[in-house]
Amino acid sequence: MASISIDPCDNTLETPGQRAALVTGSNTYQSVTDKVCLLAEKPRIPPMYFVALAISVTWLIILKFCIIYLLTTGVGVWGNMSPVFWGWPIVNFVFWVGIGHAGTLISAILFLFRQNWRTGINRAAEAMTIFAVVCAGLFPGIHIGRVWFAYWLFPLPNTMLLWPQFRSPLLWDVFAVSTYATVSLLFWYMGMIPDLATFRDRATSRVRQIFYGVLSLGWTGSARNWSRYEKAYLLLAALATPLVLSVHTIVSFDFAVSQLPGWHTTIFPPYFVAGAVFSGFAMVATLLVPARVLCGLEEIITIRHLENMCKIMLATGTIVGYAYAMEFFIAWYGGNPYEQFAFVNRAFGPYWWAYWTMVSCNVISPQFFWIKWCRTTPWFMVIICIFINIGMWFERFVITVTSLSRDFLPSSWGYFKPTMIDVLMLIGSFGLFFTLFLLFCRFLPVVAMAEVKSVMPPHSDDHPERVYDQVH
Amino acid sequence: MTTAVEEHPKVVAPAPEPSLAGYVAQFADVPSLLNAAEKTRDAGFKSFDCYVPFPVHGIDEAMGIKPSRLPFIVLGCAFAGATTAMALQYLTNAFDYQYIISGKPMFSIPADMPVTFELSVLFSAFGALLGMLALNNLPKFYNRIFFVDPFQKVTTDGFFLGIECEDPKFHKEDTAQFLKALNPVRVDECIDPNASTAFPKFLAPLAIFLLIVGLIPLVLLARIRAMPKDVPRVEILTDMDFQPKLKSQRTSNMFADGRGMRPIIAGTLARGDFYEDIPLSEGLEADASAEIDHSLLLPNAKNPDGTTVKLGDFAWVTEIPLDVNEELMARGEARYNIYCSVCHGKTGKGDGLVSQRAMALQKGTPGIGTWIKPITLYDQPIRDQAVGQIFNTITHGVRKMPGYASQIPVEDRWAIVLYVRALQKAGSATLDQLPEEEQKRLQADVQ
Ligand code: HEC
Repeated sequence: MASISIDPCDNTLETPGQRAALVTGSNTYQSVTDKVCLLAEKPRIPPMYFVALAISVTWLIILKFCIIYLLTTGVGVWGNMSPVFWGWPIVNFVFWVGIGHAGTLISAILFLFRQNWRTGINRAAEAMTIFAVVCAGLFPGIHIGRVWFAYWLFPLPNTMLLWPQFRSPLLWDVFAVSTYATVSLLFWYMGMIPDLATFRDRATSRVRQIFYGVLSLGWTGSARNWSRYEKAYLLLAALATPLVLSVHTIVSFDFAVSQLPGWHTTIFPPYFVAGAVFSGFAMVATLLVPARVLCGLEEIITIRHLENMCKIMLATGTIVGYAYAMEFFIAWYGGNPYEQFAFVNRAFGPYWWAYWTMVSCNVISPQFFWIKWCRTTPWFMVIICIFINIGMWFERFVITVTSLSRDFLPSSWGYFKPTMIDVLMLIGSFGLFFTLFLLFCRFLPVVAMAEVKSVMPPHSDDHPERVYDQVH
Repeated sequence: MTTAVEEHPKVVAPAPEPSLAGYVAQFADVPSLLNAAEKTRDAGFKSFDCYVPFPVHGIDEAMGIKPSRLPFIVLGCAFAGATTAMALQYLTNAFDYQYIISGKPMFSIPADMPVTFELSVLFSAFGALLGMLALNNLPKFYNRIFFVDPFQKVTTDGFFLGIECEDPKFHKEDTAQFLKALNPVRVDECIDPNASTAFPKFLAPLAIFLLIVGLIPLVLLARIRAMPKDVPRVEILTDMDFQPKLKSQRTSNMFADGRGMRPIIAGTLARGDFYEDIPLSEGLEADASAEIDHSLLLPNAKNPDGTTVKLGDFAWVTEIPLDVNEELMARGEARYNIYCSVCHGKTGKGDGLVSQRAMALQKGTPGIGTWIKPITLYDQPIRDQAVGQIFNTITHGVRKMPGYASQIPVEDRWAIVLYVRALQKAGSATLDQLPEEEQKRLQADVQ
């Protein structure tokens, strides 16, 4: 062993018979805690943080004004126009819900598969999930027109003696997305309780002590508590796993259950879920690459973590590419002329530019991740991930708009044009997303410290050169 | 056991004194903690616990922790969620508010599956988190172990084992000795300051007061909403109450003549308005209709020489131009009671509610109105009128009475005419015109 010299910080090399370290450098339990708490406790915040926050908040304010304008004027401020009544708002909704899949996937599915590397990134990914679902929920919320009646979506007794229609996928969607948001929030919060207790115990001011004290519910780290906590975590993971898969499945039902050529296909559920995981991981990577530098977490969110995410993107991106091809195959093989027209029109009709943007961003760009250099070079990864996100947005645009713009009667065909408000709202939703994420980085534990410690070797300071994943 | 009780007498002290609540030992690492936990378990302690920064593998066995009941709670929640969802969907869509959609059955199990699944997961997720907290006795903000000094390290890298004084085997000196023998880093006394955990006394009245004060605006709002008002209420969200559309009789500058309501375009006919059969649609004989100026049929019309039009002089139809039968009579009765009885009264005597009210108002303040009590329909002048003229009265109105052509279709107008004829017959009949049986019955009633 000693004859092979290994860079202690490079944990991307595969050494036979050994598990790669999940935490690099010579870290102890104490130093992990110190690093994770750094941004939340730092008396002087890096100026970059404020720059980022200022930009995000500006866009958040623009979003707010757009919403006020929308509410006071009506949905006519969007480009939604016959025959495309599901324009950007629904595209944005599906886009954001998709992004919101990575977090719970990492925390639940990778937990069940005992993928210990998830511990470094799961907290940030879960937070991202929740913020993405917030952005997603915004769009159908304002799309209903009279927002003050949004509660009509839920089965509440009312003076009109009406009930919602439970045989409609749109109602399933209400249940799926709100359940997903709630369960993700519970999962996220539960995971954070021990780490909030760490913040409480390190607090130097009374305000912080009370704030984190209340949030951590009086957690003592008792082994009896941990035992039930772990059981609850396992159960939540087992529950969240089918839930993650169900959410985008049900979102895809919004399309697939309708009778529109290009939408009415059985491939939608798996294809949407794969796309969601794909875009979600791209977003996690986009956020974590700068965040790990900003928060000083390079040794906890290591290159290996980023590399693993790239591998998942490569896999899901290829599944998505396969789905694109399969849609065409089925359109031809199914022999339905309307379906065939819908697909030929997608690729070579008036929206050809959107279709080919989608294909090149989603299918071609992840192929770079076959090359190790691309998987282990953070800046390059971010560029690819941004392309993937653009591609995934276009995927939803292509699905929604191309099918709708070719109505059944050629006389009602149309060409969808977004308005300025559409564009501002999409960018504004990113403002909302990044604002929430930056606040999260500043006030809550960015890394699941307790979980990272549980996969750290006990005496890492004795073996600074190479640390191994503790195998239970 | 007795010694322990003697050492901690349960005194109800007026000012609580700090008391020894147990010992807390800190250990350097996981193996030494596990070893200590096993020894403590074997020594027969029950009220002891280990405190660790992360879940330590093997500690459950070392401490003798039994598997949690949590999975059963979660299972129960899952069933509750599934049942709730099924019941909700059945009661709303298949029972209370039924309608057919896409040909699916009212209670469609496949279509109900997504919501059932979601609610099962939702309920079980709450069950898992809240059940875990409840079983763990959380939230618990006052915990005496927080008063032990190095205990803050437990959430960073401290490994602790605490034995509580409630344990039957606890002994002030012996337990301390026992812990020291386990090779800890240090052993601390856990002193419970016995600070009062009760809420301050003033909080309850204050809370009630704030609640009441907080409710005042809501009560005021509710009152304002329930009281009658002569001015339109302030509406924050007007929904669709005020729409940019033209209502009848409104002006509009969209058209050169300023009228919102548009006249029928010359040479066109509305659907259902065209009748080839003149007697049926106008109540006039066909050749007479061709000769006269129809504007003379309108209420209060004047002849070219200024004299009032005598409607009786026109060539009215004298027979109802429809099949007269029971059905038409029943139809006429129903339509009469709907449209005419409000003014003319159910018997045609002119004592309908609208008329009564108008008369009563006029009586109180003279000169306020110009209402004329409708003529009794079975008076001789009306009985003498041809059916065609009565039909015309309904169509165009007469003097004070408005026309009903826009509300009542042609066939129904004739049905009403028939019923008016029946009322006239009933209103002017003499006793000997009745069938004999009826005569006898009436005479019996009078006596
Ligand atoms: C809004 C109250 C009102 C309603 C409703 C109403 N009428 Fe009249 N009707 C009157 C009044 C008032 C007069 C007397 C007009 C006058 O003498 O100035 C009258 C007069 C008449 C006359 C006598 C016309 C004449 O030549 O003297 C007939 C016949 C008549 N109504 C039939 C009907 C029938 C049939 C209906 C139901 C379709 C009806 N009315 C509905 C108020 C009403």
